[in-house]
Amino acid sequence: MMEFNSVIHGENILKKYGKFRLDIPELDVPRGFATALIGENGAGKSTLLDIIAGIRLDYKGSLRFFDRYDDKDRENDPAVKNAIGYEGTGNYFLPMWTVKQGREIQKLLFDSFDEDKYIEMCRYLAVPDEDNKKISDLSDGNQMKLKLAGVLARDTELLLLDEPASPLDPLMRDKLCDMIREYLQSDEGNKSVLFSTHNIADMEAVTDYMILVENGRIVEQGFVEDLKEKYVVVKGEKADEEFAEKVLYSKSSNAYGFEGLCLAERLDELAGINVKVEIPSLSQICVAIMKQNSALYGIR
Amino acid sequence: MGELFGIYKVFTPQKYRIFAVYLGTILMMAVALLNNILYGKGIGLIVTAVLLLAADVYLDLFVFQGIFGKNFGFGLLRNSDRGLKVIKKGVLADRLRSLFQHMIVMMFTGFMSRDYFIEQGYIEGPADLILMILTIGMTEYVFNTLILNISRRHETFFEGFLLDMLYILAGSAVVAGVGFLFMNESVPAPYPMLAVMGFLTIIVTYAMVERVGRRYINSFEISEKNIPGDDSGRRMWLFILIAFGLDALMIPAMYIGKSNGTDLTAFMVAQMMYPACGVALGGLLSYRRVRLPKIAYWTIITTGLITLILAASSVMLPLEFEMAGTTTTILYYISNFVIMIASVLMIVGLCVAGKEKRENAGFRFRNPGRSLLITALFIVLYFARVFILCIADGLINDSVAEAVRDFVNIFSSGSSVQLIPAIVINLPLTFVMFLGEEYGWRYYLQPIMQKKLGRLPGVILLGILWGIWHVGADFTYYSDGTGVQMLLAQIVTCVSLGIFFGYAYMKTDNIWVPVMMHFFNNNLIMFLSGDASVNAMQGNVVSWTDIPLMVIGAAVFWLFAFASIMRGEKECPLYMRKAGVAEVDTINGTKAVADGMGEAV
Repeated sequence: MMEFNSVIHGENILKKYGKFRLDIPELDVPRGFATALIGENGAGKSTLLDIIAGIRLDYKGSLRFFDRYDDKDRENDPAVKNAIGYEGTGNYFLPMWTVKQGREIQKLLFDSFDEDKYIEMCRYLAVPDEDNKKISDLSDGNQMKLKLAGVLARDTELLLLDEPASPLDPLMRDKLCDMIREYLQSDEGNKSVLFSTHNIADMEAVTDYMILVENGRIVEQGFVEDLKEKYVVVKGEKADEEFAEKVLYSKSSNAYGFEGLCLAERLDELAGINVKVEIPSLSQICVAIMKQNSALYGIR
Repeated sequence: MGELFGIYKVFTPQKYRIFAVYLGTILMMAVALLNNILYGKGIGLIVTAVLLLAADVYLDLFVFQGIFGKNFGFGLLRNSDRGLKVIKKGVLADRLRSLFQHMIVMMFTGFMSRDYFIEQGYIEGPADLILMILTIGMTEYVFNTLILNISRRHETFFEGFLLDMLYILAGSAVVAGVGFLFMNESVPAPYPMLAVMGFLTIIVTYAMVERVGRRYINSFEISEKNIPGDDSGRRMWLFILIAFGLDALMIPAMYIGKSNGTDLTAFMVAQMMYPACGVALGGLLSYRRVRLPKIAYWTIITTGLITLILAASSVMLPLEFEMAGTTTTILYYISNFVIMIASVLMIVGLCVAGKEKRENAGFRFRNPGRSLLITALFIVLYFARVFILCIADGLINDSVAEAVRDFVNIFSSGSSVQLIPAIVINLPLTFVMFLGEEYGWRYYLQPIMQKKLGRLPGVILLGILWGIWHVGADFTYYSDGTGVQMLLAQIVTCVSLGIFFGYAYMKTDNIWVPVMMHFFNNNLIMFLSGDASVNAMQGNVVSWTDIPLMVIGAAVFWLFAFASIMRGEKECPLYMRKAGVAEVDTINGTKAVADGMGEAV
């Protein structure tokens, strides 16, 4: 396991929403890396991001930012909010704002907002150049681009991005990955990104660390490299399927054979049968763990 | 200023912005012009002013949809440390826009009708005209802002229509009131009105800015459901400072007024608001995270402030006139007016607040059946007391039969019976005053007293405090030269009523019960004396021998000290769960005391 400094450290974060319960005894987001918050719809990703960004304050528990500030400082010390760029779904812009008003309000709200950089970013992301159009009339993808351009045009140390990839087309997702990489490299080791996603495959290229959230709980976390050593993909023949089943997290099978994920340390238990071992992809790991947990909670 | 303008530009919808500011103003001026041509000049002004009010609130609603709408800002604003400041400045900028717009339109209308006003003698020269324009402009602005405050959830046509009607009603009343000031020859210049409106302009603007700010904060802060029992020092001190401090502060002014022979009734109105002001302000400051009925609370606070200022100014500006056969001050007339508007606003405020907020502030009408029954019982007991006093009086004078005849005469005399409709109409129009007291004494102070001393001792001590609270009025207003006796009589009345009010409140957990009782107690005096004016209460002579008599009369209320609910644990479980806001009761002495009939509190 790699050692790291946390950019965000949380303890005993608790938030109830009717039947839903977000309960995170300990949260660490490494500094200097891109962290993906992965989970099913309704797993609590957005809630967790909102809590970290302070969009909602109705939670219990404590948070620490940049190893220096706590949640109270986030509300009282402008330095904290100035260092965090948050992009969220839902009511991010007021509904009647035009593109131009959206730009002007950001100038008013943020000291470090660089208008030229914003315009340049909009051009790079191919946002239609229509100043007087209402933001709410733009497509989801274009709204997302405006939000991204807004946070990237500021001088921040931490980005919190809620589902940045979902409304974007594949080409734009690729650009997004580049932009996140570029952001991290612009001050190597000091800048961090935390984003939520369910497009694991598209964002894998830019994910260094992963936090998997399921039913309001963290079920797995770690650096992608470590996880790829922790888990292996096993492929075998049909005849051995029953024998292998007990160590597999999830499996899919066809007429010729089976394929599944298992912990690398339990590979010994499969000694004796003929299996092929491969390094898993991030999405294979996530899907397998998610399936496992869904089954635990009786959700299919 | 530049920054405000920048923020204003961002916060108003692009399309409507142009409409609201330029086209809207021109449109309103056109309406004014049309009215002047169609209706002649004098009435034209009033019709125009009312139409302008209605038109303007619509424009404001459009402009404000962005901030007040359902999607009121989260993400981007919360992302900045300056979100709250920017929101508040946006609202301030828009209010300044509205004030400016009103002024422009009023100036246009005023200058157009100036010849007519001079001809009629309402105004004398350009200086008067400007004063008039400023005053009416600010009055309109104040109402516009208040209504806008209430109507933030205006989403359907029906709600909009309803609010518009209300706005037109309130607006006409105000314009008529201001007009009265200008038309009345005994008023030299409308400076006091201008000062009050200037003050109100600042207050309502501040309230609006704060309100939107709170709405923004509430969108991400924890919303607590219940007010914890609160006898915390800070809150208590705030209550004592306002309820008793303001009361004491006014005593010198009342003495000055008395020695000048000024009518002091305006002080009585103001005094009744202090206790609730203490509770409301304490609530707003202490429970920042509790959802409280802000409109209702601000109405209470603003009403208290205005009536206080009016009362204090009535000593300095003793402008008197005849009303209903009584000489009283103009400022008292205005403060009655303020109470009426506040009562209407209060009803609206409580209606739009929703159940949760009403619950948190103890404004819910609980146990309606029992509540009405116990209020009826109070009225019966009230007359029973009068009957006992009549009989006692008869025994002393050896004329029991005559005393009984006197008592029956109360109900058969024409002038008394005629007052019944007046009393009924008065309830919804003046209840704010009685709420002003009861909210402090019964709702806030009673649970605290009972928690500290036990149920019955708490109620009795509260009665004594309540009685002492009237000390200034006892010496200057209610009695003439018999202040000490009056004070004692007041304490006896307050303790007796306090026992029954306390009993009723514990039984029903409904603050409106003591409010109604208090209302009837004070208004039935008119019924008893057959006099609709405030004369019945003033300048009475109380002799020492009246006091034991009063104790006997009040026995009907003392009986309730033995009710089972007065015993038991210190905290009355029925209402302690939401204790934390004060209750207060006011006492006004009466002629009825001298007559051995009753006493206003």
